[in-house]
Amino acid sequence: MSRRPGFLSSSVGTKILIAITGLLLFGFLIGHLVGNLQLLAGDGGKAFNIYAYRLERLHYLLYAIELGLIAIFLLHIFKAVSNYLGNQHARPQAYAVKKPAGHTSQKSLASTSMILSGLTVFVFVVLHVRMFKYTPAEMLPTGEGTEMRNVYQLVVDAFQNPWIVGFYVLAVSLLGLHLSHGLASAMQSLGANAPGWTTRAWATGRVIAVVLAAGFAALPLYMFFAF
Amino acid sequence: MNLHLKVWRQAGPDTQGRLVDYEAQNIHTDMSFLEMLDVVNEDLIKKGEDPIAFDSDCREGICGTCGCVVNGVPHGPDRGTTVCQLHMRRFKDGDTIVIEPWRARAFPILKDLVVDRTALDKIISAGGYTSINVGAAPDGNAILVPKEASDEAMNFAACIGCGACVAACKNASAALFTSAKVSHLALLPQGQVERDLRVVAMVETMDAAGFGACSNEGECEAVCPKGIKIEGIARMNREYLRASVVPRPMPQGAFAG
Ligand code: FES
Repeated sequence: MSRRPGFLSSSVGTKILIAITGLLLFGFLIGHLVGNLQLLAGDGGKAFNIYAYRLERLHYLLYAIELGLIAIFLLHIFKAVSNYLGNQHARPQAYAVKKPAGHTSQKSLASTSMILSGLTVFVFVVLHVRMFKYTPAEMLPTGEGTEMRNVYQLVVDAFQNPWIVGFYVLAVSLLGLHLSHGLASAMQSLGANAPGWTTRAWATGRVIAVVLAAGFAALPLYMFFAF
Repeated sequence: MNLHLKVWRQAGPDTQGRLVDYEAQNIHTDMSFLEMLDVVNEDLIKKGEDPIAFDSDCREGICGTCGCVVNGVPHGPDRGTTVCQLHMRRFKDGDTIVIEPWRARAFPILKDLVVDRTALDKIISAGGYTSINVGAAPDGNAILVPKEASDEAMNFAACIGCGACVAACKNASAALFTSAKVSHLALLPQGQVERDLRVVAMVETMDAAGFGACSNEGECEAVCPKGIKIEGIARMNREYLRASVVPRPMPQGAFAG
């Protein structure tokens, strides 16, 4: 007997699955941010457009990656939402008075709003993909006899609208909030914690979350103020 | 000093409970919290009313029998103690104190502040033991245990099963309790025989009892009278992962139920 029945439906298995999918999505975010930093290259968008063109030329490989990402994302959401709903049953009668215990607890605004921040980010991602991936763009010559989309111009134009900039900054802030609990929590769920490391794990997770969110927020803000 | 109490009164498991106001008068600062309740109960008995039901046994903070939520925190404002070791010097004259039972689907209220914690016993009997030869007394030091392992195992063995972790958790999760026993035995040579079966059986029993899942907030650790750390929950998850994905022949029939 190698695999126990019910691994995926047990509370611990569920948390492990949420952790793995969450960390994979975090890995994607790092790649996404590093790629997008080319928007700041100051070359009129050349580097960024070529980067986008190269990605599109991956064709089937790109489709496979995209499908994989969607599957991971949906699995993360499905498991987290069903876990959340299940947890609501565990305490049928609420306390009249309940206070955070403080002390060594890592309870925070982030940890108590994971489901809300997560679902908001999901809505954002849908709108975000629609805005940049499925909006027709001007075509530019690649210099190799082919044409590429001028995604750079799409980005610059979109971020002239202060509402869009505000929405993006809000969304990536919520993403940062989500990660400020999510990163350390995922490590803990996967068992990657040892005596004396809890505080350090959460502190590290929070720093990474802030840096990542600041990186993403810098892009629309730069585009808004630079053009 | 005099205090205003708001105490959860509930006649039985199936009746509707509510917070009832009481005045606790002439309370000494040297009294323990439970002694204060004793004084209130004496008054209630003299008046011919039903005294407040609450659990206690050792009143030394070592047995795990007592427990209630005091002003929104399990076992009250002091860290690393049970409510029987909470003293009235922590409060000021005229304070209002709200006293509620542990609240969890898996801990049905029996009466007032007394809850049924059989669910924790079920988790223990699902795997919180070791199979050892109890024939002749073993030779001293025949089983070698590394010092670090014995220290850490001892930290987890300190759990007194009071249930404050469940009471503190927003999901009423018993992850800290279960992980304490899993970790305690996984660290020792005597616990290796049933190591894989133990963690799976205990997690399955924990889930079936109606406890929620762990959200890794660590409220449990903050209220634990014995300072059990959530690193234990990480260890439990590790053990669970190991038992679930590493193909390994496991004895059948053990851990029935
Ligand atoms: S009565 Fe024994 S721990 Fe409080």
